[in-house]
Amino acid sequence: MTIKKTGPSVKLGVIPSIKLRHKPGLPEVSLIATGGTIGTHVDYRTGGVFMCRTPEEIIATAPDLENIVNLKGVHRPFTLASEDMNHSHWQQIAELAAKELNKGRRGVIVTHGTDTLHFTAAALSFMLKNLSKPVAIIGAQRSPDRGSFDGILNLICGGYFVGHSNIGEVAVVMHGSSSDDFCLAHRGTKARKMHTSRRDAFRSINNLPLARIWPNGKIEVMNENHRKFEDRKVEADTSFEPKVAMVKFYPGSDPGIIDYYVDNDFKGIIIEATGLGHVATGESGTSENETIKSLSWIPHIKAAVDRGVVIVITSQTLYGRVHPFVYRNLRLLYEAGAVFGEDMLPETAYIKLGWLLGHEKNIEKVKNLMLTNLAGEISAETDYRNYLA
Amino acid sequence: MKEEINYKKFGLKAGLEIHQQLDTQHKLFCKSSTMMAEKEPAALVKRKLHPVASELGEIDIASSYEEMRNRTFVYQYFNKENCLVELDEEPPHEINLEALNVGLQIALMLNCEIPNEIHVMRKIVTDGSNTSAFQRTILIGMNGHLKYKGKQIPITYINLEEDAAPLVSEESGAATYRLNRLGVPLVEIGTGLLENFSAKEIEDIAFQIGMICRSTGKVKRGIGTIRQDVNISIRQGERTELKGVQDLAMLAKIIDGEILRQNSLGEIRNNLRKKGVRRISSQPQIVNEDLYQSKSKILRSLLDSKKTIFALKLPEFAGVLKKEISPGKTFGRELADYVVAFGVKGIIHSDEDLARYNAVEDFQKLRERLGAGENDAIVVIGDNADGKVAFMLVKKINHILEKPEKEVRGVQEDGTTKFLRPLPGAARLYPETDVIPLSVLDEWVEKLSKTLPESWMKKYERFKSKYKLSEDLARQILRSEYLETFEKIMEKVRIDAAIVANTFTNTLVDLQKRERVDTKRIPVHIYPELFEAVADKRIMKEATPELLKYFAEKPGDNVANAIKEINITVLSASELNKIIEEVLEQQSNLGYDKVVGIIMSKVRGRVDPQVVLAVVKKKMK
Repeated sequence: MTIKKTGPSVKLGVIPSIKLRHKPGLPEVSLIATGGTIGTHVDYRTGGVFMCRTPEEIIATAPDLENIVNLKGVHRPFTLASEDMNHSHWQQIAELAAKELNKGRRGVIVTHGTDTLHFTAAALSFMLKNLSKPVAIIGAQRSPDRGSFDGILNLICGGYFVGHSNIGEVAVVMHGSSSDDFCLAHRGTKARKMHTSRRDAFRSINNLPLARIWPNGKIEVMNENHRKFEDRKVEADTSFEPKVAMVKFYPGSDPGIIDYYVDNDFKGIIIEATGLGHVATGESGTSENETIKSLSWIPHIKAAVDRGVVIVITSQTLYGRVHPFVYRNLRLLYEAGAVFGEDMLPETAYIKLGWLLGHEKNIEKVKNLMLTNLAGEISAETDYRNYLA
Repeated sequence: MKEEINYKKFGLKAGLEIHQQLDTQHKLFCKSSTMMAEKEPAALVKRKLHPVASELGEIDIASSYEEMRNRTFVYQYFNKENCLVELDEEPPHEINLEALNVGLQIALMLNCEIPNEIHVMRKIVTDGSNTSAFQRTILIGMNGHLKYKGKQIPITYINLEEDAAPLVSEESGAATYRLNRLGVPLVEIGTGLLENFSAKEIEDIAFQIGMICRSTGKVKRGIGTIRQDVNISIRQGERTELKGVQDLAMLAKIIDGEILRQNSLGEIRNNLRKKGVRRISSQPQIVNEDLYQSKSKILRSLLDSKKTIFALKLPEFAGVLKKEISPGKTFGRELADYVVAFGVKGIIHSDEDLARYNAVEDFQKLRERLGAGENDAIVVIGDNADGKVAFMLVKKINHILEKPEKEVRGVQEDGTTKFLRPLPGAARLYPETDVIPLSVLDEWVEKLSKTLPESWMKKYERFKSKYKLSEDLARQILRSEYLETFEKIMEKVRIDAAIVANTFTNTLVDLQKRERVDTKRIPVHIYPELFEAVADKRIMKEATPELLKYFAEKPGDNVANAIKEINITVLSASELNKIIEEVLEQQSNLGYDKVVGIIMSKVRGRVDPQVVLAVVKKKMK
């Protein structure tokens, strides 16, 4: 059977775009739209969803915003799926955000694809030096063509966070549960996407969420350990060394991957190790089995460190803290010169190392700074309540 | 209302849309079970829905009306019968091929053309019955037909779609839905225009379509598993979709009710026009101050709850509001249904018994205030300050006076209908981009065509010729919910089909009606065993009612044990002889009829009555 045309064709793609009305007395904030599901259309040519929405179209999905904040600066520096971003985009967002904040805006909302949203959140956390105003990074897990679009609640709660909270930090503001009842603000250096598709995919890891935000404007602070709002200038300090890699260790993995990066002039490598921070050690260097011996990462890491490459150990368990001394094998890795990255998320450690190497050429200083808390990325103690919270 | 309806005179036009749940193992787009047996929800999820500019144009008219209600939706999640797909938390999995095959079988049996590509579409649904705010639907057949009384009934389309979640309750702006039905495969069959048929014939056509679905052996049975929507219009009415007819036997009655409703509204329109009323030009007036001394409980509660009370003058409407427009429904009630659909409690009008509301004086005041005369009616409505619903009511009345509006009406259990919403526009579909299109290969369709189940008409003919059932009995067993059990027994047991068919269509019904036996408790697997006992002459067919009663009480028992328990073992010739001789000896003075009566009471169900008669006759000679 062939499909016959039975009537006149329908005009496609009518999305209203609105400019919000200015309401006196409401805080002035800016919006930076960078792409992602929150700004998609259905594409009839390829059948998938694609990114094309203007900030005005995004705002049109949450008209309630005009009763929460006055949107002053609205920017679209680029429109990308978050997997296509790199450090240059984090730099652009940071510079734009700083410029807006220094114009006197109370805060900034950044709309973003969710997949690498936490990388950008971490990057902004380091790049916005002396930040004392709220910056909310927001995405959506359902596209805006559906009545079940989740971005509306995220935008509303994000509006309250940047316009009305007393928190002066970068935060990921997304659904707190599968219901449309509240959002959580997660610290930018402690947030991670933990689910492929649920609305509440973002979680705080090794940290309590900063606040619970309700769509009626109620803001419940959950973590007292945060920077308070202050009307101060911020500096965009965006230098970043892109020659930093993330490598995952797994049973049987070829340590030659370290050599590859070293040979290609990489300055730093984050290793996602197992458990407390393990990589293969060839039975602590005593194995007589040729295969086991050849799979030991220790000589490769030692060689990399000797060539001035910063090696940082994080754990693929995500939750908890790495430790250099519990097992002999951990000590071997420590002795080889690897830095044990405390309770930092691998992604955060990657961003931090790139940012530090962008600023500091002295390797020992970089290693020291990796273990110094700069933007809430390392907690001094591990709170019992933080696991799977 | 009793007189026969002249359908030709009214110019009845109808269209059917039949929704039949499929009895597949899994849902249409995930591996959750379709059993719908779980009782307790494992989790509750609360959601909001938002009107969206659908990709095909302006915000859908139906959506924006729903939006006015500003509701919260609570979804009950059931273990095993739900997963993240129904929670709108995960994209759909691949399409269920078992369901697609059954759907295609039905499409082929209805002589449809099969599209060469299967495209999943999203149909916008914003009443909360779908967590995603759309229903996934797939066109699997077009341009088919069904033969009925020598005519070709056009089958315009067949869709395979996800069933929606049913509403559990609705209170103070929160609607609760059960998610276990969401995603159960459903075929939606739409007929073309049905003209020159009676309501009963339309019911019969719906029945036949249902039978075709049933013949696949893969459809769900029982209340709510097949639902009919019927579109009705008459010459002086406008197309109305009556939604959710669950009991097919009520369809004709529902159609008749709708014809009368549309006709009565037409008569009201004509009568008012004769009196010079073409539309209502007056607007609702705020009357809170006029009523501040009201003694009426209803009006007081509106005042106390800070509602804005609107009063509306309807010129020349006196008496019209109490006119019955369809069985059990006055025009006033119809208008009340309309405002209730938009969240207002109801209306009070001057055709009601105002003394009952203690509002006679109030209405007198309102008459003066609005300048209403004796021939005018007054409607009072408690609304929000903006009077949105009150103004919509004026609009609705003007529609009735000028040109009726297309609307969707919900069918109630008693067969009456209620306004639900205006008929949504056509632009409600857009592609489901999460599922890639599937090509339907010619060989696939060809293979299905060769293995189609026996059609309903063929089955009917076979029951008459092979099983020697009368036309009536053949028709009855075809309609019976025990059809599949009947066929299974006839395959296995050599027995007179009429005995089996009669048991299902008459005996069971009698037991239920006359003796209040809960026949649903009798396990289906008992029937073949039971009829085997009859076929083997271990029991008389007359004993079956006793056995059925027994199994309604003790559904766990087996037939052999039941026969012993209720003592219905067939009597041998010598046992029977003994009983007859005893009775004759003791009752030698009684006549033939009395003697037979006494004997029968002792042997009922354990011996053929003809044999008893013959033996007694012989012995008494």
